[in-house]
Amino acid sequence: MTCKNDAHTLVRPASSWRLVLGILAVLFVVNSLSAQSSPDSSNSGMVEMNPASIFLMNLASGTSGNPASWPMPMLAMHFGSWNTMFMATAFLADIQQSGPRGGDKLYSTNWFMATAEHHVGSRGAFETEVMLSLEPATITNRSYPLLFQTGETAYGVPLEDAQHPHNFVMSLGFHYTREFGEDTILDVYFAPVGDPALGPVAYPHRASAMEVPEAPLSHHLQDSTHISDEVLTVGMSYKKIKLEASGFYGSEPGENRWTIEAGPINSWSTRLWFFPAKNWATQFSVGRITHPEALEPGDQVRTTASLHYTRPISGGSWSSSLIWGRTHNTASLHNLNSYLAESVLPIRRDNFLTGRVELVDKDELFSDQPTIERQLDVLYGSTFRIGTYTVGYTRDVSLIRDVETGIGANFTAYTLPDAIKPYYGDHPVGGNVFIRFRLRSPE
Amino acid sequence: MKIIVLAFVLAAVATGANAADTFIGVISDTMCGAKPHSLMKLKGQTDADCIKMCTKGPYVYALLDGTNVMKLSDQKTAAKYAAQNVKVTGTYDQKTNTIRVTSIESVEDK
Repeated sequence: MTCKNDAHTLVRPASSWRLVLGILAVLFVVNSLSAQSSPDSSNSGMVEMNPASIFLMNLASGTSGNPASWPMPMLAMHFGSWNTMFMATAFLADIQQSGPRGGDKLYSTNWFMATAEHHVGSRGAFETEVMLSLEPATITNRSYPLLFQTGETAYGVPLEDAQHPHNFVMSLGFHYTREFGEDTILDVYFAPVGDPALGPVAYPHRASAMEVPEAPLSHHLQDSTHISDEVLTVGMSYKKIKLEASGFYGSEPGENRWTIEAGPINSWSTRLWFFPAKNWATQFSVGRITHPEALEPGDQVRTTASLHYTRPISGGSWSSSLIWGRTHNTASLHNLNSYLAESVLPIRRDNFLTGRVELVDKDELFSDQPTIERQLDVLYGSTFRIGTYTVGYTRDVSLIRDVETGIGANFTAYTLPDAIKPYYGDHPVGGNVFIRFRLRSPE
Repeated sequence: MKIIVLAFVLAAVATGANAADTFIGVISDTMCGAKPHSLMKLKGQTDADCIKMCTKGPYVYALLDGTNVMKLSDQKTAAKYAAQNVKVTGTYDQKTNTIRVTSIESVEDK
């Protein structure tokens, strides 16, 4: 059932060069910014923008977007005529889980993102973005425990009941955007590492997922391509509609999380967005991903649809998402469905209530235990539907200037088929306690 | 009894008086705020172009009364008067920094 991913092996020698090139590109941009920066301290906010600039400012991950009314927490500054945005979130969390396959661990999920934008004439705009994560260091042993989670590998073994860290370079991309007539905008996006036009807004960027440190269980059936290599996307936006198409290298990141990998553009996707009003965003996307999993044969055909809603209220924004993702594996012929509903509700500015409910089909829970996997397959089938029910609370405390510091906890209960209860227990549960740090938008 | 009735009448009058304040200023947006639009816009764009552009994201139409930037509950009507001097009638909610708009009228030629 397993095979070696030769593509990863072949590209490794070149990866360090690509990392160097990536860093040089970032240094070039930073140097450009420094050269044009004004020495005065009044460089907050944006300058010299056109509709193409505004279009870029409202993007989330790659070319995806949260509802326009969501005020992204960020610092916005200008250096000369360059506009920059800085976003950062870090969780320090301790997870405790019950049952024979539950685990405990202190870990940190975190990411930092910076963009620099400059207008090109009166109708165009250029933007470069870089997103970094220290998770390769802050998630030790290449994973943190997450019951029923699967996808990617650690030390050559498929991850089971565990979530992998993000890569150090989560994104390195470039946009050129141009307005053609009123309300018509073309966006060309190239990213050595980036997010193709497939799936909903990836969970690290999703407004409704902001207060949950751990990944959704449905991540690998919905938004797992958010760190892909060699992404090229062309999108056309007209009023409330945006249509995009992407080509990208389909293999998921290897275990060396510090490098940038490369490969041929061998995977394709297309996505249609509809923004009926400022508080709403909805998308439908399909894609064919060539051999994404290193130890699993076959390609994946993925279909997703999602609805995102943000309602500005006193003290913040109430954000919610409904997401469906279906993945068909061309080798196993399995069709895996996933459904997610999540919401974060701010109360009196300093309190956040979070809820997340998922139903996810899993077929790799015993992939490194072939005897058990075969027995279960014969008796009960190869796919098991897991339910997760998460509630959480975060309380902001004012500790650091310009940083939203919150202390929180969440609790997750799981439902599972009787067939696998002997391995997980009848009622497995888990929970996190955490401290959250997030760059705050100026008042 | 007369005192109670009088108190109710006075309370009603007082409430009524608070319900319809008048605000004079220019229709702007919460992105530019009190900063001049010349910082944000490019050559050839009008202030109205700038305001319309800025309100495509999370930012909204607002009234700039010289120093204060107050959000407006009626965004559709505010859009018609972008960059114009207006008189807004409504009640101000300090908690949300929003004027709950009863009416907006131009005072450009007055």
